[in-house]
Amino acid sequence: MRTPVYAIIDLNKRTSARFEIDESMYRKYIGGKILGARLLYDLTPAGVDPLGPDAVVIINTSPANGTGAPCSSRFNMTFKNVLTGGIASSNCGGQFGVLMKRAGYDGIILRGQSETPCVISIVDKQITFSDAGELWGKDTEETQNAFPKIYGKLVIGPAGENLVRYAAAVSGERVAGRCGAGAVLGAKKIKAIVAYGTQRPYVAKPEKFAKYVKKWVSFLRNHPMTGEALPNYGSAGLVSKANATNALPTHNFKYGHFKDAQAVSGETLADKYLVRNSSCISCPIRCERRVQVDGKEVKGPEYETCGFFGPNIDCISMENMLRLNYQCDLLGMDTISLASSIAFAMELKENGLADFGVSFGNSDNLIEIVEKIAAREDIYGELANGSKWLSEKYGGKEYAMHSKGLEMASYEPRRSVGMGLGYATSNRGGCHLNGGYLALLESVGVLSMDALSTSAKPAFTAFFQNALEAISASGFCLFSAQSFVPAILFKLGPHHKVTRAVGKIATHMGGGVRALLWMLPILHFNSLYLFPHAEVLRLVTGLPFYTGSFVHLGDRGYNMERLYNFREGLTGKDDSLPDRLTKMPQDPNNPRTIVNLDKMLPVFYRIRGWNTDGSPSKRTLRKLGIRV
Amino acid sequence: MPYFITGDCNGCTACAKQCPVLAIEGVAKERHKVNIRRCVSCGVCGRICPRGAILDGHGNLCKSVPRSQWSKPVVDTKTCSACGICVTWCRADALRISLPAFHGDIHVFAELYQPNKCVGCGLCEENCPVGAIRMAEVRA
Amino acid sequence: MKTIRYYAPLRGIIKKESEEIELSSVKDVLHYIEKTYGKEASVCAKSALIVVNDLSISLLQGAKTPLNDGDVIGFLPVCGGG
Repeated sequence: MRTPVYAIIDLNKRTSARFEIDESMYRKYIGGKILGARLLYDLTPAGVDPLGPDAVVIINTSPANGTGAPCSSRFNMTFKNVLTGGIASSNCGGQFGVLMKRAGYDGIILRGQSETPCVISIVDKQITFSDAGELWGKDTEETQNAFPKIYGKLVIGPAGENLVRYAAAVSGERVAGRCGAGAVLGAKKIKAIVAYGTQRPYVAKPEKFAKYVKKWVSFLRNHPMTGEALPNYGSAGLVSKANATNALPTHNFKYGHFKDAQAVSGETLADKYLVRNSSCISCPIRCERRVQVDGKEVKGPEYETCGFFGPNIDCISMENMLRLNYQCDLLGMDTISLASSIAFAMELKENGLADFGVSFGNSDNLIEIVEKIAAREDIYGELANGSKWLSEKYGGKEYAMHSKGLEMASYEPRRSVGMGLGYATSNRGGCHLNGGYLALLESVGVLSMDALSTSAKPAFTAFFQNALEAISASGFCLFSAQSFVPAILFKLGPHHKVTRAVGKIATHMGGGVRALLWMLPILHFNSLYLFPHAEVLRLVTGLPFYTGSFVHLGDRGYNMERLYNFREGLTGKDDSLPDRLTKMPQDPNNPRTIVNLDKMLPVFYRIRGWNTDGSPSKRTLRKLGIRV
Repeated sequence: MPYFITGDCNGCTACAKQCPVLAIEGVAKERHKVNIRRCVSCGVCGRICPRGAILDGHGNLCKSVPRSQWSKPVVDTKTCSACGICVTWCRADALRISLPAFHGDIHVFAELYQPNKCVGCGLCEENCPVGAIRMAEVRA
Repeated sequence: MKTIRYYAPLRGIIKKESEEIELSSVKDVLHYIEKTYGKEASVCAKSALIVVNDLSISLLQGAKTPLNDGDVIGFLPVCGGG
């Protein structure tokens, strides 16, 4: 067993020192976002300004990173959420994490603020600083090109420098997109962090590990989702699926279906604009899109970008959307929060509350406006603050589509109520992944639980929130978990009576899943068909991870994040959604098409072992071994 | 065990230019030095040095080997999952993921698209998680 | 006149992107595909996400969903994402 090596960096003095992670801390919190949450809680007092010098940013990896296990490039940034004031963890598939580990560090902790814009180099175990000089002001592509090709890089663009609240950090072609990851680096005046080294990651049982990796890669390549659908269409393929179930946010989440959605769908992207697919390092799924924009091959859009620069603003121009996606990468901005804030601004104009020069159906002027937002120019500086801020100034809170301040993703929860519960209870704000991603089982996957039924959703949400937390914290991309839906169901298809029957059964399995959560210790096995991540974690760390203890690890992480939120003043009251989703049915003739949080939240709290105010109970903390 | 450059080095920079991990430092016409934290003992510098100035990790003098005899990676394209790890290790930019054979082709794989640039370091073979790469002698 | 839109992988089997028909229900279209293009096409069509005017037939009347003039029935690949 080997405990992780962390460095703590003082940006004022430009010095670094070894930071001890003892065995007990490691065994309980492992790495990634879970260890990140623990460290953020311990290293900062309550109430710091997320963009101030007392804020701490943790950039860390996980045991699986760099080992060659499939889909294991993901690294994490943990910081105080610029948009919500609670916890933020932003995940990224770029090379930086793997190379930082090769350079000898599993994680770095950034403290203070550099006096002038700087570049941090982590090379062969040594951490050095230099002035960013002319790099400050450059876009992320130019910035990355300034360093050797083989180096791992994590950089910000103009949006991060200007503290746009949803600025992102970029590593290679991938992005740590959400919660203001770019802004917190910009606030510390860090333009770039680069890493290189040749140290090998620790693997406790190398021979068994190598065998298992081959097995798992083969399994992923043969599964209809991870071996066909995702490499062929990427996540962009979801546009038509969400649209088919009325779960595609349209006109700022007013509707769930857009009649011209096919114009910006994954199928159209594949037919007309796709050059080829690509991947994060170490991934056989290869869901990344590469497209042509103005004669240049660039990275293509994810589902959220398709939905939000398309139907959610009533636009059908794929060319504009591809251009905007690339531009957001160059500027370093989260496409979800940006596009959702723009949609909100469009509705403000529609209702005569404010005019930012954006209106539904028009994406031609957005390139120019997005540049201005990144520069915080004139009134566009207000758009840079996000939809929550805008609604507090101009009104329209009922249709400011965020939870806790983080704009929610492109799944209309009134047609996927478990996803709605997930958005409301996600620790980092309106996130579909941190929220448990029940949309996969309710509306956009091959298997469909009754999307409007509330009974099983609290249990399923809690279970998947825990599982996804553990998968992320071990270093894996969540797409590698999509293979838990049995391949046979894809061969039968969504309309086959067997698939429908499984969906119906799942709709009533709330009690079963709840029991499962209590019975975790007896799940003392690992399965390729469920969470192969647990087996890899076991073989890499040498620690006894099995399905049960793996999900339990996720539970611990989820509660640690929750504790941080409570300390920062976010309570059960913030487990909320805008009125549009809880009070106005998507289908006026069907009152069930709302997210009934009043019904689901108390059940969810009980299942999670939380008090009625949403705070983790002492008993739950004891069970999870969390001491504060 | 890291390699070592002796005093016989005349600073021709050939090794530094080809080291796959940028582990050799030095000024032209002056004796170069191996960064011992970084050296991965691949032997490229030893094969390329025209002056016999390099000792391997066991202290043996490295013999110069003609470029045409350096081994090159052979990829088993059925096993290769195009995960890109080998490409990221390749400083020489000899490897890439193949371009689709037709529009919509997802069965791409690692390919030695610039074989002349390959320095035979073997880092691709060493780091492939599915054992799809074998370094092989190339017959002239 | 109604339209069938074929997407991958069905498109690769039938070798058409779309065609016009005068059938009046989803069930009739499925029969038509089996009769005209064979068993492989039929299996593929049945396992696709079937939509009428971009709405899943699971939200309509399943295979019994009627097709009216101007309707478009599509056979989409199944997918998931994040």
